[in-house]
Amino acid sequence: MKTKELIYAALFAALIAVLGMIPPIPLGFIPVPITAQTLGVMLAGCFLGKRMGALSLIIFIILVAIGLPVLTGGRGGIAVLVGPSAGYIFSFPIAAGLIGWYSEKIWPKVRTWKLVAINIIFGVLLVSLIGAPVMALITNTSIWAGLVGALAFLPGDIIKSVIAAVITMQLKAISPIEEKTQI
Amino acid sequence: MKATMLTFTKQDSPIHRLTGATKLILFIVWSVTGMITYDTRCLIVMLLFSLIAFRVSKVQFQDYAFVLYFILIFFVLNHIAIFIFSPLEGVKVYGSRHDIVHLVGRYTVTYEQLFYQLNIALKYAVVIPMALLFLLTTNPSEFAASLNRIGVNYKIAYSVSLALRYIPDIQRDYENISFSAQARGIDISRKEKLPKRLKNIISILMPLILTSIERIENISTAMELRGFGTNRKRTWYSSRPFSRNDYIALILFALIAISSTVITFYDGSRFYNIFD
Repeated sequence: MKTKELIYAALFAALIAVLGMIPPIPLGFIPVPITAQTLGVMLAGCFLGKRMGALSLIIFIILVAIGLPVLTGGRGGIAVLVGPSAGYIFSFPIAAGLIGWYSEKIWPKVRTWKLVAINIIFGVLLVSLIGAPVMALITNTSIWAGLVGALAFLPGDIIKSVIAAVITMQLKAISPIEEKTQI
Repeated sequence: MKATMLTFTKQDSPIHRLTGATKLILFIVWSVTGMITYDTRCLIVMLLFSLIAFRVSKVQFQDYAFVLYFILIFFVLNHIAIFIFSPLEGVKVYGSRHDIVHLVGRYTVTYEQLFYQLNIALKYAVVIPMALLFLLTTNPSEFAASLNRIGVNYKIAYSVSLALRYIPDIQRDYENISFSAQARGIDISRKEKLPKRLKNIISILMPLILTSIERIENISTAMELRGFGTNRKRTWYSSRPFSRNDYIALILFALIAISSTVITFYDGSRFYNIFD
Protein backbone atom coordinates (compact mmCIF):
# COMPACT_ATOMS: atom_id res chain seq x y z
CA MET A 1 0.00 0.00 0.00
CA LYS A 2 1.37 3.37 -0.96
CA THR A 3 2.22 6.00 1.63
CA LYS A 4 -0.42 8.38 0.32
CA GLU A 5 -3.13 5.78 0.71
CA LEU A 6 -2.10 5.26 4.33
CA ILE A 7 -2.32 8.99 4.97
CA TYR A 8 -5.75 9.16 3.34
CA ALA A 9 -6.96 6.39 5.64
CA ALA A 10 -5.40 7.95 8.74
CA LEU A 11 -6.72 11.46 8.22
CA PHE A 12 -10.17 10.25 7.25
CA ALA A 13 -10.25 8.26 10.47
CA ALA A 14 -9.45 11.50 12.29
CA LEU A 15 -12.12 13.30 10.26
CA ILE A 16 -14.74 10.72 11.19
CA ALA A 17 -13.71 11.14 14.82
CA VAL A 18 -14.23 14.90 14.56
CA LEU A 19 -17.60 14.42 12.86
CA GLY A 20 -18.66 12.49 15.93
CA MET A 21 -18.15 15.65 17.98
CA ILE A 22 -20.37 17.86 15.83
CA PRO A 23 -23.64 18.56 17.68
CA PRO A 24 -26.53 16.47 16.32
CA ILE A 25 -29.26 18.19 14.32
CA PRO A 26 -32.72 17.35 15.62
CA LEU A 27 -35.42 16.49 13.12
CA GLY A 28 -38.57 17.96 14.57
CA PHE A 29 -40.81 15.03 13.71
CA ILE A 30 -38.75 12.17 15.14
CA PRO A 31 -36.89 11.56 18.42
CA VAL A 32 -33.56 10.54 16.89
CA PRO A 33 -31.37 13.48 15.78
CA ILE A 34 -29.05 13.39 12.78
CA THR A 35 -25.49 12.67 13.82
CA ALA A 36 -22.64 13.31 11.43
CA GLN A 37 -20.54 10.25 12.24
CA THR A 38 -22.23 7.74 9.94
CA LEU A 39 -22.07 10.42 7.27
CA GLY A 40 -18.31 10.03 7.64
CA VAL A 41 -18.60 6.29 7.07
CA MET A 42 -20.49 6.85 3.81
CA LEU A 43 -18.04 9.54 2.71
CA ALA A 44 -15.09 7.27 3.42
CA GLY A 45 -16.57 4.64 1.13
CA CYS A 46 -17.78 6.94 -1.67
CA PHE A 47 -14.75 9.16 -1.77
CA LEU A 48 -11.81 6.91 -0.85
CA GLY A 49 -12.75 3.65 -2.52
CA LYS A 50 -12.89 0.19 -1.01
CA ARG A 51 -9.39 -0.35 0.37
CA MET A 52 -8.74 3.08 1.82
CA GLY A 53 -12.33 3.41 2.98
CA ALA A 54 -12.28 0.12 4.87
CA LEU A 55 -8.83 0.83 6.32
CA SER A 56 -9.90 4.25 7.59
CA LEU A 57 -12.76 2.65 9.51
CA ILE A 58 -10.46 -0.05 10.87
CA ILE A 59 -8.15 2.68 12.15
CA PHE A 60 -11.19 4.44 13.60
CA ILE A 61 -12.16 1.26 15.48
CA ILE A 62 -8.62 1.00 16.84
CA LEU A 63 -8.96 4.57 18.12
CA VAL A 64 -12.22 3.59 19.80
CA ALA A 65 -10.66 0.45 21.26
CA ILE A 66 -7.84 2.33 22.97
CA GLY A 67 -10.36 4.47 24.78
CA LEU A 68 -10.64 7.63 22.70
CA PRO A 69 -14.10 9.11 23.28
CA VAL A 70 -14.71 9.63 19.57
CA LEU A 71 -18.01 7.84 19.10
CA THR A 72 -21.06 10.07 19.12
CA GLY A 73 -21.85 10.97 22.71
CA GLY A 74 -18.24 10.76 23.81
CA ARG A 75 -18.15 6.99 24.01
CA GLY A 76 -15.04 4.93 23.57
CA GLY A 77 -13.13 2.02 24.98
CA ILE A 78 -13.37 -1.71 24.69
CA ALA A 79 -16.62 -1.62 26.66
CA VAL A 80 -18.40 -0.14 23.64
CA LEU A 81 -16.94 -2.76 21.33
CA VAL A 82 -18.52 -5.53 23.40
CA GLY A 83 -21.70 -3.60 24.19
CA PRO A 84 -25.06 -3.34 22.43
CA SER A 85 -23.70 -1.06 19.68
CA ALA A 86 -20.83 -3.40 18.80
CA GLY A 87 -22.51 -4.82 15.71
CA TYR A 88 -23.09 -1.40 14.23
CA ILE A 89 -19.52 -0.29 14.89
CA PHE A 90 -17.93 -3.40 13.42
CA SER A 91 -20.17 -3.12 10.37
CA PHE A 92 -18.60 0.25 9.51
CA PRO A 93 -15.49 -1.13 7.74
CA ILE A 94 -17.66 -3.61 5.84
CA ALA A 95 -20.11 -0.89 4.81
CA ALA A 96 -17.32 1.49 3.75
CA GLY A 97 -15.55 -1.28 1.86
CA LEU A 98 -18.67 -2.28 -0.07
CA ILE A 99 -19.68 1.32 -0.79
CA GLY A 100 -16.15 1.91 -2.02
CA TRP A 101 -16.14 -1.23 -4.15
CA TYR A 102 -19.32 -0.22 -5.93
CA SER A 103 -18.24 3.42 -6.22
CA GLU A 104 -15.10 2.30 -8.02
CA LYS A 105 -17.15 0.04 -10.23
CA ILE A 106 -19.53 2.75 -11.46
CA TRP A 107 -17.03 5.60 -11.35
CA PRO A 108 -16.79 6.27 -15.14
CA LYS A 109 -20.54 6.89 -15.31
CA VAL A 110 -21.23 7.91 -11.73
CA ARG A 111 -24.44 9.80 -10.90
CA THR A 112 -25.68 11.32 -7.67
CA TRP A 113 -28.68 9.00 -7.49
CA LYS A 114 -26.44 5.95 -7.89
CA LEU A 115 -24.29 7.05 -4.97
CA VAL A 116 -27.39 7.70 -2.90
CA ALA A 117 -28.63 4.20 -3.73
CA ILE A 118 -25.43 2.42 -2.67
CA ASN A 119 -25.15 4.57 0.45
CA ILE A 120 -28.62 3.47 1.45
CA ILE A 121 -28.08 -0.19 0.59
CA PHE A 122 -24.70 -0.63 2.27
CA GLY A 123 -24.50 2.32 4.63
CA VAL A 124 -27.99 2.05 6.10
CA LEU A 125 -29.62 -1.30 5.40
CA LEU A 126 -26.49 -3.45 5.71
CA VAL A 127 -25.38 -1.67 8.89
CA SER A 128 -28.81 -2.30 10.41
CA LEU A 129 -28.86 -5.92 9.27
CA ILE A 130 -25.51 -6.51 10.97
CA GLY A 131 -26.09 -4.29 14.00
CA ALA A 132 -29.60 -5.36 14.98
CA PRO A 133 -28.89 -9.12 15.42
CA VAL A 134 -25.78 -8.38 17.48
CA MET A 135 -27.72 -5.94 19.63
CA ALA A 136 -30.48 -8.51 20.06
CA LEU A 137 -27.91 -11.11 21.07
CA ILE A 138 -26.20 -8.87 23.61
CA THR A 139 -29.31 -7.32 25.13
CA ASN A 140 -31.28 -10.57 24.95
CA THR A 141 -34.17 -9.07 23.00
CA SER A 142 -35.71 -10.06 19.69
CA ILE A 143 -34.08 -9.19 16.37
CA TRP A 144 -37.41 -7.89 15.18
CA ALA A 145 -37.53 -5.35 18.00
CA GLY A 146 -34.05 -4.17 17.03
CA LEU A 147 -34.98 -3.75 13.38
CA VAL A 148 -38.18 -1.91 14.22
CA GLY A 149 -36.19 0.34 16.53
CA ALA A 150 -33.79 1.03 13.65
CA LEU A 151 -36.65 2.56 11.69
CA ALA A 152 -36.31 5.63 13.88
CA PHE A 153 -32.88 6.24 12.36
CA LEU A 154 -34.06 5.81 8.78
CA PRO A 155 -35.01 9.42 7.87
CA GLY A 156 -31.74 10.79 9.22
CA ASP A 157 -29.70 8.11 7.48
CA ILE A 158 -31.39 8.75 4.14
CA ILE A 159 -30.63 12.45 4.46
CA LYS A 160 -27.01 11.58 5.22
CA SER A 161 -26.88 9.35 2.14
CA VAL A 162 -27.90 12.30 -0.01
CA ILE A 163 -25.42 14.64 1.68
CA ALA A 164 -22.55 12.18 1.22
CA ALA A 165 -23.47 11.65 -2.44
CA VAL A 166 -23.70 15.39 -3.13
CA ILE A 167 -20.36 16.09 -1.47
CA THR A 168 -18.68 13.24 -3.33
CA MET A 169 -20.01 14.46 -6.67
CA GLN A 170 -18.76 17.97 -5.98
CA LEU A 171 -15.33 16.69 -4.95
CA LYS A 172 -15.20 14.05 -7.67
CA ALA A 173 -12.29 15.61 -9.54
CA ILE A 174 -9.92 15.29 -6.60
CA SER A 175 -11.04 11.89 -5.32
CA PRO A 176 -8.37 9.19 -5.04
CA ILE A 177 -10.73 6.98 -7.05
CA GLU A 178 -10.51 9.49 -9.91
CA GLU A 179 -6.75 9.46 -9.56
CA LYS A 180 -6.74 5.67 -9.82
CA THR A 181 -9.01 5.49 -12.86
CA GLN A 182 -6.90 8.04 -14.75
CA ILE A 183 -3.92 5.67 -14.76
CA MET B 1 -16.74 22.25 20.95
CA LYS B 2 -15.00 24.84 23.12
CA ALA B 3 -12.99 22.37 25.16
CA THR B 4 -9.88 20.75 23.79
CA MET B 5 -9.47 17.09 23.08
CA LEU B 6 -7.53 14.86 25.42
CA THR B 7 -3.84 15.48 24.86
CA PHE B 8 -0.61 14.11 26.19
CA THR B 9 1.18 16.37 28.67
CA LYS B 10 4.79 15.74 29.51
CA GLN B 11 5.15 14.85 33.18
CA ASP B 12 7.56 12.85 35.27
CA SER B 13 5.65 10.15 37.07
CA PRO B 14 5.85 6.36 37.39
CA ILE B 15 2.92 6.03 34.97
CA HIS B 16 4.48 8.26 32.34
CA ARG B 17 7.72 6.30 32.57
CA LEU B 18 6.09 2.98 31.67
CA THR B 19 6.50 2.16 27.99
CA GLY B 20 3.53 2.65 25.71
CA ALA B 21 3.48 -1.06 24.89
CA THR B 22 3.13 -1.92 28.56
CA LYS B 23 0.30 0.55 29.06
CA LEU B 24 -1.49 -0.70 25.95
CA ILE B 25 -1.34 -4.30 27.14
CA LEU B 26 -2.38 -3.29 30.66
CA PHE B 27 -5.28 -1.25 29.33
CA ILE B 28 -6.58 -4.10 27.18
CA VAL B 29 -6.26 -6.64 30.01
CA TRP B 30 -7.96 -4.22 32.40
CA SER B 31 -10.86 -3.53 30.04
CA VAL B 32 -11.49 -7.19 29.30
CA THR B 33 -11.32 -8.09 33.00
CA GLY B 34 -13.69 -5.26 33.87
CA MET B 35 -16.13 -6.43 31.21
CA ILE B 36 -16.06 -10.10 32.22
CA THR B 37 -16.75 -9.79 35.92
CA TYR B 38 -19.98 -8.79 37.62
CA ASP B 39 -18.56 -9.65 41.03
CA THR B 40 -19.00 -6.54 43.14
CA ARG B 41 -16.04 -7.36 45.38
CA CYS B 42 -13.65 -7.58 42.42
CA LEU B 43 -15.04 -4.41 40.87
CA ILE B 44 -14.57 -2.42 44.07
CA VAL B 45 -10.95 -3.54 44.45
CA MET B 46 -10.28 -2.74 40.79
CA LEU B 47 -11.89 0.68 41.22
CA LEU B 48 -9.65 1.51 44.16
CA PHE B 49 -6.64 0.39 42.15
CA SER B 50 -7.68 2.58 39.21
CA LEU B 51 -8.04 5.64 41.40
CA ILE B 52 -4.66 5.04 43.05
CA ALA B 53 -3.00 4.71 39.64
CA PHE B 54 -4.69 7.93 38.57
CA ARG B 55 -3.43 9.71 41.66
CA VAL B 56 0.13 8.52 41.06
CA SER B 57 0.10 9.81 37.47
CA LYS B 58 -0.16 13.50 38.46
CA VAL B 59 -2.63 14.16 35.63
CA GLN B 60 -4.46 17.46 36.18
CA PHE B 61 -8.25 17.45 36.48
CA GLN B 62 -8.71 20.19 33.90
CA ASP B 63 -6.89 18.01 31.37
CA TYR B 64 -9.84 15.64 31.19
CA ALA B 65 -12.73 17.44 32.91
CA PHE B 66 -14.66 18.19 29.73
CA VAL B 67 -14.45 14.66 28.38
CA LEU B 68 -15.36 13.28 31.80
CA TYR B 69 -18.54 15.40 31.94
CA PHE B 70 -19.40 14.27 28.44
CA ILE B 71 -18.99 10.63 29.43
CA LEU B 72 -21.03 11.13 32.60
CA ILE B 73 -23.96 12.51 30.62
CA PHE B 74 -23.96 9.46 28.39
CA PHE B 75 -23.54 7.28 31.47
CA VAL B 76 -26.77 8.63 32.96
CA LEU B 77 -28.65 8.20 29.68
CA ASN B 78 -27.39 4.61 29.51
CA HIS B 79 -28.76 3.76 32.94
CA ILE B 80 -32.11 5.36 32.18
CA ALA B 81 -32.27 3.30 28.99
CA ILE B 82 -31.44 0.07 30.83
CA PHE B 83 -34.32 0.61 33.23
CA ILE B 84 -36.75 1.61 30.49
CA PHE B 85 -36.03 -1.41 28.31
CA SER B 86 -35.44 -4.02 30.97
CA PRO B 87 -36.81 -2.92 34.36
CA LEU B 88 -36.63 -6.42 35.84
CA GLU B 89 -33.24 -7.50 34.44
CA GLY B 90 -31.84 -7.67 37.95
CA VAL B 91 -34.68 -9.96 39.05
CA LYS B 92 -33.89 -12.26 36.14
CA VAL B 93 -30.18 -12.27 36.90
CA TYR B 94 -30.30 -12.86 40.63
CA GLY B 95 -33.36 -15.12 40.71
CA SER B 96 -35.22 -13.35 43.50
CA ARG B 97 -37.41 -10.30 43.89
CA HIS B 98 -37.60 -7.59 46.55
CA ASP B 99 -39.82 -4.70 45.47
CA ILE B 100 -39.14 -1.17 46.65
CA VAL B 101 -41.89 0.76 44.91
CA HIS B 102 -44.25 0.13 42.02
CA LEU B 103 -44.25 2.99 39.51
CA VAL B 104 -46.66 2.24 36.67
CA GLY B 105 -47.46 -0.67 34.36
CA ARG B 106 -44.52 -3.05 34.24
CA TYR B 107 -42.18 -0.61 35.96
CA THR B 108 -41.33 -1.59 39.51
CA VAL B 109 -38.13 -0.57 41.26
CA THR B 110 -36.47 -3.58 42.90
CA TYR B 111 -33.36 -4.03 45.00
CA GLU B 112 -32.14 -6.55 42.44
CA GLN B 113 -32.35 -4.00 39.62
CA LEU B 114 -30.58 -1.35 41.69
CA PHE B 115 -27.80 -3.78 42.56
CA TYR B 116 -27.51 -4.89 38.94
CA GLN B 117 -27.18 -1.31 37.71
CA LEU B 118 -24.74 -0.56 40.52
CA ASN B 119 -22.49 -3.27 39.11
CA ILE B 120 -22.76 -1.76 35.65
CA ALA B 121 -21.87 1.63 37.10
CA LEU B 122 -18.84 0.08 38.77
CA LYS B 123 -17.79 -1.39 35.43
CA TYR B 124 -17.82 2.08 33.89
CA ALA B 125 -15.97 3.48 36.88
CA VAL B 126 -13.30 0.78 36.64
CA VAL B 127 -12.57 1.16 32.93
CA ILE B 128 -12.86 4.92 32.37
CA PRO B 129 -9.94 6.05 34.58
CA MET B 130 -7.60 3.57 32.91
CA ALA B 131 -8.73 4.68 29.45
CA LEU B 132 -8.16 8.34 30.26
CA LEU B 133 -4.87 7.48 31.92
CA PHE B 134 -3.60 5.63 28.88
CA LEU B 135 -4.42 8.53 26.58
CA LEU B 136 -3.10 11.25 28.86
CA THR B 137 0.20 9.59 29.79
CA THR B 138 1.31 8.10 26.47
CA ASN B 139 3.20 10.11 23.89
CA PRO B 140 1.42 9.68 20.52
CA SER B 141 4.77 9.09 18.81
CA GLU B 142 5.54 6.27 21.18
CA PHE B 143 2.09 4.81 20.69
CA ALA B 144 2.88 3.75 17.13
CA ALA B 145 5.97 1.97 18.38
CA SER B 146 3.80 0.22 20.96
CA LEU B 147 1.38 -1.09 18.34
CA ASN B 148 4.29 -2.30 16.25
CA ARG B 149 5.72 -4.02 19.32
CA ILE B 150 2.57 -6.08 19.82
CA GLY B 151 2.59 -7.26 16.23
CA VAL B 152 0.69 -4.69 14.15
CA ASN B 153 2.31 -3.89 10.79
CA TYR B 154 4.34 -0.71 11.20
CA LYS B 155 2.52 1.14 8.44
CA ILE B 156 -0.86 0.48 10.05
CA ALA B 157 0.57 1.32 13.46
CA TYR B 158 1.87 4.60 12.12
CA SER B 159 -1.52 5.36 10.53
CA VAL B 160 -3.19 5.03 13.91
CA SER B 161 -0.60 7.34 15.41
CA LEU B 162 -1.20 9.87 12.63
CA ALA B 163 -4.96 9.73 13.10
CA LEU B 164 -4.50 10.24 16.83
CA ARG B 165 -2.21 13.19 16.22
CA TYR B 166 -4.44 14.95 13.71
CA ILE B 167 -7.78 14.79 15.51
CA PRO B 168 -7.08 18.10 17.31
CA ASP B 169 -5.93 19.72 14.05
CA ILE B 170 -9.05 18.73 12.14
CA GLN B 171 -11.17 19.75 15.10
CA ARG B 172 -9.56 23.18 14.99
CA ASP B 173 -10.13 23.33 11.23
CA TYR B 174 -13.79 22.54 11.77
CA GLU B 175 -14.14 25.31 14.34
CA ASN B 176 -12.38 27.87 12.15
CA ILE B 177 -14.45 26.97 9.10
CA SER B 178 -17.66 26.92 11.12
CA PHE B 179 -17.02 30.35 12.64
CA SER B 180 -16.02 31.83 9.28
CA ALA B 181 -19.15 30.44 7.65
CA GLN B 182 -21.34 31.74 10.45
CA ALA B 183 -19.70 35.16 10.11
CA ARG B 184 -20.89 35.08 6.50
CA GLY B 185 -24.44 34.33 7.60
CA ILE B 186 -24.49 30.54 7.29
CA ASP B 187 -26.55 29.38 10.25
CA ILE B 188 -26.68 25.77 11.42
CA SER B 189 -28.51 26.43 14.68
CA ARG B 190 -32.16 25.70 15.29
CA LYS B 191 -33.15 29.20 14.15
CA GLU B 192 -32.90 27.99 10.55
CA LYS B 193 -35.31 25.66 8.75
CA LEU B 194 -34.22 22.05 8.28
CA PRO B 195 -33.49 21.95 4.52
CA LYS B 196 -31.51 25.17 4.82
CA ARG B 197 -29.56 23.77 7.77
CA LEU B 198 -28.65 20.64 5.85
CA LYS B 199 -27.44 22.73 2.92
CA ASN B 200 -25.40 24.81 5.34
CA ILE B 201 -23.88 21.62 6.76
CA ILE B 202 -22.59 20.83 3.29
CA SER B 203 -21.15 24.34 3.08
CA ILE B 204 -19.09 23.61 6.17
CA LEU B 205 -18.14 20.00 5.43
CA MET B 206 -16.90 20.77 1.92
CA PRO B 207 -14.03 23.06 2.97
CA LEU B 208 -13.29 20.75 5.92
CA ILE B 209 -12.74 17.86 3.53
CA LEU B 210 -10.78 20.05 1.13
CA THR B 211 -8.41 21.24 3.87
CA SER B 212 -8.00 17.63 5.02
CA ILE B 213 -7.09 16.57 1.49
CA GLU B 214 -4.58 19.39 1.20
CA ARG B 215 -3.05 18.21 4.46
CA ILE B 216 -2.98 14.65 3.12
CA GLU B 217 -1.03 15.80 0.06
CA ASN B 218 1.49 17.67 2.16
CA ILE B 219 1.97 14.90 4.70
CA SER B 220 2.32 12.05 2.22
CA THR B 221 4.80 13.99 0.07
CA ALA B 222 6.87 14.91 3.11
CA MET B 223 6.86 11.32 4.38
CA GLU B 224 7.90 9.87 1.04
CA LEU B 225 10.71 12.39 0.76
CA ARG B 226 11.90 11.13 4.14
CA GLY B 227 11.99 7.54 2.97
CA PHE B 228 8.92 6.18 4.75
CA GLY B 229 7.82 2.76 3.57
CA THR B 230 10.92 1.81 1.60
CA ASN B 231 11.84 -1.07 3.91
CA ARG B 232 9.99 -4.00 5.36
CA LYS B 233 10.81 -2.99 8.93
CA ARG B 234 11.79 0.20 10.70
CA THR B 235 13.33 1.48 13.90
CA TRP B 236 11.49 3.77 16.30
CA TYR B 237 12.88 6.97 17.74
CA SER B 238 10.39 6.90 20.62
CA SER B 239 10.64 3.19 21.35
CA ARG B 240 11.84 2.33 24.83
CA PRO B 241 13.01 -0.99 26.23
CA PHE B 242 11.01 -2.70 28.94
CA SER B 243 12.31 -1.74 32.34
CA ARG B 244 11.95 -3.43 35.70
CA ASN B 245 8.89 -1.30 36.45
CA ASP B 246 7.24 -2.53 33.26
CA TYR B 247 7.65 -6.15 34.27
CA ILE B 248 6.41 -5.41 37.78
CA ALA B 249 3.32 -3.66 36.42
CA LEU B 250 2.61 -6.47 33.95
CA ILE B 251 2.90 -9.14 36.65
CA LEU B 252 0.73 -7.15 39.05
CA PHE B 253 -2.04 -6.70 36.48
CA ALA B 254 -1.85 -10.35 35.45
CA LEU B 255 -2.38 -11.35 39.08
CA ILE B 256 -5.36 -9.02 39.41
CA ALA B 257 -6.91 -10.27 36.17
CA ILE B 258 -6.44 -13.94 37.09
CA SER B 259 -7.70 -13.44 40.64
CA SER B 260 -10.73 -11.54 39.41
CA THR B 261 -11.60 -14.21 36.86
CA VAL B 262 -11.19 -17.07 39.33
CA ILE B 263 -13.25 -15.33 42.00
CA THR B 264 -15.92 -14.46 39.46
CA PHE B 265 -16.37 -17.94 38.02
CA TYR B 266 -15.48 -20.33 40.86
CA ASP B 267 -19.12 -20.73 41.85
CA GLY B 268 -20.21 -21.23 38.23
CA SER B 269 -21.92 -17.86 37.78
CA ARG B 270 -20.63 -14.49 36.61
CA PHE B 271 -22.85 -12.70 39.09
CA TYR B 272 -22.06 -12.13 42.73
CA ASN B 273 -25.40 -12.74 44.41
CA ILE B 274 -26.17 -11.00 47.69
CA PHE B 275 -29.81 -12.09 47.67
CA ASP B 276 -29.32 -15.80 48.47
